[in-house]
Amino acid sequence: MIARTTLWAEAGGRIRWRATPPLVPRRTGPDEVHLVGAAGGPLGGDELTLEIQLAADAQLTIRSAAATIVQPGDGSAGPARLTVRAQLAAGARLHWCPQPTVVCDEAELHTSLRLELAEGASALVHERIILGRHGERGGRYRGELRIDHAGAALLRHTSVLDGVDPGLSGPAGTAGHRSLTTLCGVGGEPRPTGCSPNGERNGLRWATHQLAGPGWLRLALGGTCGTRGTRR
Amino acid sequence: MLTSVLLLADSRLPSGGHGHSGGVEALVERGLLADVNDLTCFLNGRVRTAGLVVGAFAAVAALSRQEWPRWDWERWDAALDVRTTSSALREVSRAQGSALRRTVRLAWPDDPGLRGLDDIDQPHHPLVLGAAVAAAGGGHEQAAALAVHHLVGGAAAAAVRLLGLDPLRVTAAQAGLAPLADDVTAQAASIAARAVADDDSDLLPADTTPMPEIMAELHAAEEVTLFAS
Repeated sequence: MIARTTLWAEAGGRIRWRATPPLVPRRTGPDEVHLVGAAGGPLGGDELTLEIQLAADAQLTIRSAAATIVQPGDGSAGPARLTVRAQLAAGARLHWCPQPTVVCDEAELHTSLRLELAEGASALVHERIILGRHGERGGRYRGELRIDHAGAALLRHTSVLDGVDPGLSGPAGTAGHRSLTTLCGVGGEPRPTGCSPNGERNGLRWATHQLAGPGWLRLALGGTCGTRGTRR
Repeated sequence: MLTSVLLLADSRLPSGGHGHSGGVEALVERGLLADVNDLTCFLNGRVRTAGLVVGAFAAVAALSRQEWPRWDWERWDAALDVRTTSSALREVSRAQGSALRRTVRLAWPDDPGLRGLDDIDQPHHPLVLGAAVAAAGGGHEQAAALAVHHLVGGAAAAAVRLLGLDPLRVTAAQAGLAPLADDVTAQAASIAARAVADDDSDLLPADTTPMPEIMAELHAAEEVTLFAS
């Protein structure tokens, strides 16, 4: 399945889209849409693209209605691919906060989240990858996070996960943890308060990185349970 | 040429590498890396991710010789900055780069590539290493190989010291990883050649895994450690 959806948002809450299933937006607030999975998948071989354009001073929060479950396609199909590209004009703010993505055993997902922020724009990214359903170890994942700010590269970060590969599920990879949460703020987005920037407890390990530019990245490894408290 | 390049491969090269464990100490302290099998797993994961990145940047630096003098060191240095998420690891890479630069500037005082690196306050280690390999007469594949070699060697030596592992078995584990390291080296060198030919740093890899990045910050916050990283 090959699908492309484009979203436009302007200041004052005007939001338009041109959608192809399965990436179908539904408006759920003044500056908010939920993506509603309008088909099963993604499966190996699927190529889904979401383009987001935020005009000057536009605000947009994008959530999803349910977790994404990535399952293997037939053996020759290759990975499922999801590409999200967002362009933010000055004063625009994007909050990208989908529900978790579960990469099932034998499945492979490649994602690419590319943000281009003009000077004065800001973005908050909140993603969670879970390796496998209950009783599984999980498949393979490559997640590219690529952010440019004011015309300069700010972050190039490709997380490589594999629930079965000893090199990547061992001490150099996820050390047996089954979920990776990525929280990233760019362009004056405040750091989360309420817990220390770095720590280890209750099976969680996390650190907050000051990027080499106007942004921060928090990475947290943990188990497969727990609520995310996405309403903030 | 071979003798000069081997000098850069020597773990006794005065570049401050002995003060760093490549992330091993934080894992040993938590019982997450306890024996030679764990070390082998660790090195396997590191070579394919961090090894690919440092190998590609060392290869890029070695290729700068063809492009000199219109080579812009700052741009490639910044490209490694945006691929090194942890500020603790950026500092480690820059401290080791500066230390290596002092050594190799004295060893090859007239080399224009190395002289060009003087423009950067504290250059990243893989760039200095790659430029030094070129100054020593080596090629970009050798530069990538040396970057991967130091990543593996530094972590292995630290594991021997921290855990009292049998050095013979650790060396055997490193030998077992050599074919993987050679594959990664070839991949890094070929990506670097394309990035330099197209003059596009976005073609360079940014592969990473979460544990080393998280552990780097936790380790940097510890009060007493044997290794700086």
